[in-house]
Amino acid sequence: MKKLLKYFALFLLLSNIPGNNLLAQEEMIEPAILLEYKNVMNYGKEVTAKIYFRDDEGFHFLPDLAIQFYSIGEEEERLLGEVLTDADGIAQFVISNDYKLPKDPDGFFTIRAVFEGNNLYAYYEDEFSFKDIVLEMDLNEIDSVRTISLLAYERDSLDNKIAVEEADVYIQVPRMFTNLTVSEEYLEAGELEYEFTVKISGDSSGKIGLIAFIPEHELYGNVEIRSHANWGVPFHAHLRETFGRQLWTPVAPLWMIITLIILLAGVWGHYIYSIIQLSLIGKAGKKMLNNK
Amino acid sequence: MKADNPTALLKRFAPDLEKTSKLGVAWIIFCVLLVLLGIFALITQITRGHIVTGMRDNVVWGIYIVNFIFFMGISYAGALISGTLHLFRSDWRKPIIRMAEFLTIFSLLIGPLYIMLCVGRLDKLHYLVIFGRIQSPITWDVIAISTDIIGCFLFLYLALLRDFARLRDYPDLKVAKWRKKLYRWLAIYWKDTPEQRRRLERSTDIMAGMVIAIAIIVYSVLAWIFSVTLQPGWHSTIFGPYFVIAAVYSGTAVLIVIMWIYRKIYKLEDLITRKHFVNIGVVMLVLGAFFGYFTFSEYLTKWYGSEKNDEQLISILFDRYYWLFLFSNYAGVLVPLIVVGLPKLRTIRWITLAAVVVIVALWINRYLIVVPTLETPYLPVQDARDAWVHYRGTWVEWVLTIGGIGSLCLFFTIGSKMVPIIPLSVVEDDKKID
Repeated sequence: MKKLLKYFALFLLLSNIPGNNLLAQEEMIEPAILLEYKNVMNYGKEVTAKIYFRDDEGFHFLPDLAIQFYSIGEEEERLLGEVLTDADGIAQFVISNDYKLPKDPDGFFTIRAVFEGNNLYAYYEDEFSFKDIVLEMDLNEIDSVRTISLLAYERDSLDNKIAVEEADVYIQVPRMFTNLTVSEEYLEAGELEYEFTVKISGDSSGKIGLIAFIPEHELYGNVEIRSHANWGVPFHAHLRETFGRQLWTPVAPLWMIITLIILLAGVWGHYIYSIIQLSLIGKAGKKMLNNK
Repeated sequence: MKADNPTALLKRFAPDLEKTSKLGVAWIIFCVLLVLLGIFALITQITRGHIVTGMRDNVVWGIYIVNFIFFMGISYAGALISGTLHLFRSDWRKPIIRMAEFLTIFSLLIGPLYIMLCVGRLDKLHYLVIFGRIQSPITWDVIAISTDIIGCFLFLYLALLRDFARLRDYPDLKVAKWRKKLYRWLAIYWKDTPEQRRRLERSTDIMAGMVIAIAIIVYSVLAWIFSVTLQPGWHSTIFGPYFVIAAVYSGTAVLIVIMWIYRKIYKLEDLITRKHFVNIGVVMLVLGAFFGYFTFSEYLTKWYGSEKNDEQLISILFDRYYWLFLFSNYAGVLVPLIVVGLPKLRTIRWITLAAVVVIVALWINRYLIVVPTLETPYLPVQDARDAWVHYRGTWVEWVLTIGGIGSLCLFFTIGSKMVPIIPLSVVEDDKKID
């Protein structure tokens, strides 16, 4: 019995030592990858992988991990590149529009994001498949009406244009922190015309950015095209010519100078008074000494 | 020997003014060595630049600014205590008022040196005066500190004037001729006439009031250097009074330790009694309670507000600086409260020990105000080396800190070799003064 207690105490002691590996069962953490895709017509396909794991304390995004991006064809698996995750666990890879991705017979391409795993985190992969799309945007003033014309189609194996049957389209204007959706439209038979009548601030010449965005299409994913036009309201900052007396101007605010003068005059006035008293003390003593 | 007999007191202190014992000489040499060590570190810093310190682009302030705040704090505490004790004319003040006056002036001479150590280009220091902008809190500080130094010197001189006259007139004082001349020059024909007494008393009263007011203003200005910035942990409306309370609190603790040391060295058990320790201890207790209240209020509001950067700062304080934070803000408040609060513990030794805890705790408190905030920038610092983001004091900074402490000890030693540490004139009957 004594022996049993001794072993039990030893077990308790060993199992409570920090960093003790004798009894601790090391478990690999299983991460997950959140894979996002956006086809930006202006430059290419943005593939974003966010790697994380979740425990009782919440989500933990994992930095400095290598994520490999593969293009999966019918017969081949092509490594597109490898990206290290940033402080937020994000690895982003852009596939140029010029790059031809292998496709299956139905015209779908597949992108796979792979984390090979290490001594802490287990292997994980995720993938998506979408079709290529062409989204064209024309900005015209038709009868003085500012009009955005959209054309959306895909190309078959013989390079024929096949119009996109239907899709939601957001018309957006980029602002400082996010893209402002000015209208939610619906594209039919690959075409949409939108009259831009919104009054929105642009730069000094009225220039604004314009985005047509197809969100989360089941065949094409997120699709976006960007352009710009002088369709905004010109913004002129009305700065005052003179700032007067402020904290940042060469001359201090008046109240500050007055306060400082009052304070310093009050303090130094008393100092001077005390020094005068000291001098009178000296004079009185000297006078007394001379009289003697 | 009674404390109300200045001649007898002078007779008692004369041997200490005339000669220095072997132990005294060894102590002075030790202090000088500490100062020389500090000078060596200073030369290292000047020749090799600020790279020898732990200060970098992100954490631009470290131990130097902590020492600056600490020394300035104990100086203002000395001014407040000596000024208040003078104005209230409390009888028990007599043996300790000179120590408070010395504390004011000596720490005021050391404190500003540390702010200069933070400046990278000392050769351009005069630009602060030439191109100084009234809007800048740094300019306020320069004006305030220089005004304070002059005011404190004036107050100390007024307090010492009658003692200089006594030393001048004491025939049996066997000191070097230059010292006799110095006493004569400093005594400015003091003859103890009613007119001279009246003028001196009036000036001293005015200057006592002034040093109290200036101490509060100057230390508030020092607090505003931090609080007018938008840094997490600094941007606080209560920083002015919080700094003043912390300053007086730490200064009171330093005064208690000084009282204990002088009591031992000069065997002043009959002059500095338990009553003095208890009285100053009670002041320390009250200040400790205020300090605890301000600290709690400061961190509670920050924690409850959960503003992102405040939250980050508090998490750093309770993580990396956990033990320092605990010691500074819990032990630093509770120990003096318990020691002075419980009659059984209210002894000279325990009160002095509590004062030592307060001194260390308050130094750490200033460190925790300065460094963790600078380690919590608004913009995230990415891909930076550890030394850029985190601060660690280097040997140069620590040696210069020790040099400062050595200087304070040396100044006190020299000061008490020049004039008796117990003011001769104050022990005279105050009623003689008109």
